[in-house]
Amino acid sequence: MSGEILLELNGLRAKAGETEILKGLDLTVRRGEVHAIMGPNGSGKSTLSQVIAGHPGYEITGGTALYKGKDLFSMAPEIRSREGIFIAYQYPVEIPGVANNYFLRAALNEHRKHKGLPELDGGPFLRLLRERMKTLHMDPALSGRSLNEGFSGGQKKRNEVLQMLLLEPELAFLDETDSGLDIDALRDCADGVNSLRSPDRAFVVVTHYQRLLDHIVPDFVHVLHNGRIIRTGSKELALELEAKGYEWLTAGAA
Amino acid sequence: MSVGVEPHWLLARRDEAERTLVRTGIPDGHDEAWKYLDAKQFLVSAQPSLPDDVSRLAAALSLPEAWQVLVFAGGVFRKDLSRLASQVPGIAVEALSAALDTDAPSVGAHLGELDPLDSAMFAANRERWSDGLFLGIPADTALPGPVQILDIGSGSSFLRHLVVAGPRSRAEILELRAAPDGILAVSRSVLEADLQEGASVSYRSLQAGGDRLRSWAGLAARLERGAEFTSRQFLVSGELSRTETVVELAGPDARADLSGLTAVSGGRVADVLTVVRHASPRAVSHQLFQALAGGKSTASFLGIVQVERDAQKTSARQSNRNLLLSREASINSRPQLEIWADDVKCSHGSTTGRLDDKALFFLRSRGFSEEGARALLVRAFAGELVEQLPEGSFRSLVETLLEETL
Repeated sequence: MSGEILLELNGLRAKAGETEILKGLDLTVRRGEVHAIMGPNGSGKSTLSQVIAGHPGYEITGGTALYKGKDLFSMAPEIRSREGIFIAYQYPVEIPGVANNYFLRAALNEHRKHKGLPELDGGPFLRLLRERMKTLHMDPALSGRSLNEGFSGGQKKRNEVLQMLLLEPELAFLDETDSGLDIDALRDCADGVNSLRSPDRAFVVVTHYQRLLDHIVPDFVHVLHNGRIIRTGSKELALELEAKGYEWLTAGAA
Repeated sequence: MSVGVEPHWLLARRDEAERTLVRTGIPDGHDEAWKYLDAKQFLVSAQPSLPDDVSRLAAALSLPEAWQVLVFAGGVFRKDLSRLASQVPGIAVEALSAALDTDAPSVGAHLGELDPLDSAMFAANRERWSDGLFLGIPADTALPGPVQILDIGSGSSFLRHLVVAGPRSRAEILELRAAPDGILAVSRSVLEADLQEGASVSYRSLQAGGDRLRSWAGLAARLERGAEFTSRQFLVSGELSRTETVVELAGPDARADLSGLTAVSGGRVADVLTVVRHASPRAVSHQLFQALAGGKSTASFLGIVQVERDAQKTSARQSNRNLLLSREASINSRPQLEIWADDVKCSHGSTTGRLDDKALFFLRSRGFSEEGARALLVRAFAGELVEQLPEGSFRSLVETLLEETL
């Protein structure tokens, strides 16, 4: 595959407070590709997603990040989003008082405005919403409830994927979307992701476990350790990690 | 009407009020209930507003959903600006000054009877009121639609409204207080509501504009057996605002449902005081008061629940939730429970917080501007109380003013 480069990270360094977490990370993602990033706890997997999203709790201390050829770090979080970056969060936030469907439509319309498209009215939006929720086997009642409030773990993760299906990002990071999911929810989320796969889009699947990768088959598997990618391979690397753990790779690497 | 033709009983009550005022004095910061706002600021005089501004406000704020609108400007009933419907036999909707003649027995029996004994502001109003609404509803009668009071600030005024809701009657009352922008106006009004057995009164009030309006609004309601009183108070504009809501659950099984939303910014100050007294068994009171404070504003809540010895099986719930929108704003929340009965269910809760950074970032990472994300979270906070309102121009006005304030 040799799509256009979507994201290019070079020597990326970032810290949270006084702690440096990313220590020179290199990653190139092209359109059409699916990358898996695996690694033990504390290797920097979630930090990577947050840094890509523009979370103010992380400070970029070195390296460069180009998204569609432009400096990612000069873009506000909302611009990154409207320009096609999406993070499916590991811990989706609950926002009492903000109805899920209202939030979804407002977010979609922010994106449409940015692209110069007319805003979507209630009727057409609801039809679109129902269709996408059906794909994910989501209870239609969840659309009228406050965002994620009182949702089960599986409902929250489905809701993240639902947002992705509506916003149709160009580059999606899935931050441990599989954690805490039963097998049905895992399959629904994976089906949702797969339905979006196209030569124009790229996915970065951050996960601990190989099982999600049975459903979302990656082109590349990277091992993140101590803030850097220490090994890149094909999907077989994930199977090897599942069988052997990380130690055979991390023992020698600093 | 001029003081010269007032009946003796009324003159005697004004004298009594004056003596009360002399005895209590004007409350200052030593008074717990006036810790964050100086009562003297409500007792200044002011220049009248321009007649054109008054007419414009009267036209803009007469709500289409009201059956009748009584407009008062600077404490004077303005029949020319009011929207009066043809009378329904038995129901009295008129200026209090006129009711002194036409409904003398009812007015005489009730006027000033519900005021809290030791309140200087209620006493000041009782002494000096110039006019107001009189609403008398006979037994088993429902008003055909809401009655609206429109209190337009012009100079300084004391209005007194009296509502006598007969047994099993039903009424909806809307009260708007407003003033032209840019000119000091001082409004000090009292609404007394006597809810007889099984009566149901729904009251909604809104401070509907006037950046130099100082508004003190007292509300005194007494509920007889099985009566129901609902109150929704919105303080979302003005310079200084204070509401004092005193509800007595006098009869068994009465229900009071009180809520209010304060939204202040700039250097504004808003105070909410509620006193709910359970005097009979099995009565229920629910209170939900919320405040949003931005800029250098101050919002305060003092909520007193009293449960008397005989008020067994009382159920009283009070909740005060606040959101600080800036570092310089301040919120004061003081719930007070005084319980003398032993078989009761009482609860109170108070929370004050800031906008959730996690939620703000999340919304931005889904494409909302920072401003849009803040607005959405603020609306979500205020939404619970706004959504309790029926659809209509009152609600639209609340929403518009909220947007302007925040």
